[in-house]
Amino acid sequence: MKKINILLWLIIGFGSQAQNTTSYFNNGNTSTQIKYVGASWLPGTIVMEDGSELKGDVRGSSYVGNDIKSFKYRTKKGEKARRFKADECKLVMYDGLIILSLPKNIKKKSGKRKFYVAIYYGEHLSVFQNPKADVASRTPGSTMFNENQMLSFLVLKDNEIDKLTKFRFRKPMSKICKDNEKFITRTKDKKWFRYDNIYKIAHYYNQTKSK
Amino acid sequence: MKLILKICIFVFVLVVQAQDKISSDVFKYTMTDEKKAFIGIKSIMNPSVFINNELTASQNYTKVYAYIKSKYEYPEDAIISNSKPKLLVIQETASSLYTSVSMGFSSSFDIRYNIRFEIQDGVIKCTVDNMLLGSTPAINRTMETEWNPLTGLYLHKKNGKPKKSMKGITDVKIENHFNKIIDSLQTF
Repeated sequence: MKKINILLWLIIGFGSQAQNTTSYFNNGNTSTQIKYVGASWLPGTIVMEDGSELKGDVRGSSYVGNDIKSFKYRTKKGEKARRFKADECKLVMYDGLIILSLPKNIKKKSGKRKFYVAIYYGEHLSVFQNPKADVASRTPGSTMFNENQMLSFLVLKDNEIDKLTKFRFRKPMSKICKDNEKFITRTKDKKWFRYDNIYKIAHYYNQTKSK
Repeated sequence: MKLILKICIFVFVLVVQAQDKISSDVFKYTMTDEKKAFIGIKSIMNPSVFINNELTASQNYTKVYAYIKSKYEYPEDAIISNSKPKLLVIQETASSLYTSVSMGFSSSFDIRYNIRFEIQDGVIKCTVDNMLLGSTPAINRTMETEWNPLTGLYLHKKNGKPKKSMKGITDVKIENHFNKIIDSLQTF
């Protein structure tokens, strides 16, 4: 009996080693163009407030303008869908996007929450879309290289949310990230340290912060 | 009790056999039984390749990190996950890696992928996963590249005949790309 027990524990041990730890942090390969949450059923994950995961079909459910208010979830086609609001979940993964649940009023940490589309979600620093941001748009007959670019983003670090704009980026970003020497050294490279690169900058900060 | 023991051994043998099936020395596409109407028969690439050597886990980690550093001025840009000395995960984008030729014209698309380097004493397991095919549609709302999962290649027609536009072109280019990475790492 003892031998069987040992054997079973060994098998369980091997099995648990083979599992990969799930991480939702993404890397810096995205863009500063506005991203929309779609309303068609796609494979996705909802991470609940207690950290538990719901994997299945996910879609945007209700909207106010482009802002997503709730998601629908079902395990398979034909099954009755459940609706989740921002107060019930931590994050949602849908169509290559990471949607975070954060305070509705960015100056108040408690209270109601809403969904924000992250362009970069990291361990120490995350960047997400500012629902109130202006979006670069082309007037008829003109040429534009940054069409649909969001002109401001929100940055989450140490539970504090700061706003960064295209026209005031380097100084505030350096101030937010001043606790990382390696990062500050690289900010001297002006070609790299620019607003259009914000997601790569956030990735570099996260990767070098823990060292 | 004997029955439980037999089941346990059977499961263990199955796991070991399954691992043997998916591991090899090189990346290579093989045909599966999966058929899709109008598209053909699916071929998949073995996800993992093992590099065996006589180095310790720490030395192997240094070797992999040095290899990444030789490719990137700032390796942190490519590294997604880093748990010294067990794991390094990088994400890369290879431009025009997916090529097909039709009517004399070739069309190419970028492929984005992750490579997991799982490091132990005497072995580095290199796994290619999360392969995405990039395409820029002529008209889309943001003019951004769309990245769609690339789980396999349809190299054969439904009747089993190879597709002239892809077989020996698309698969070989992708295999060579990943095998070159393994060769470079081995000789690094």
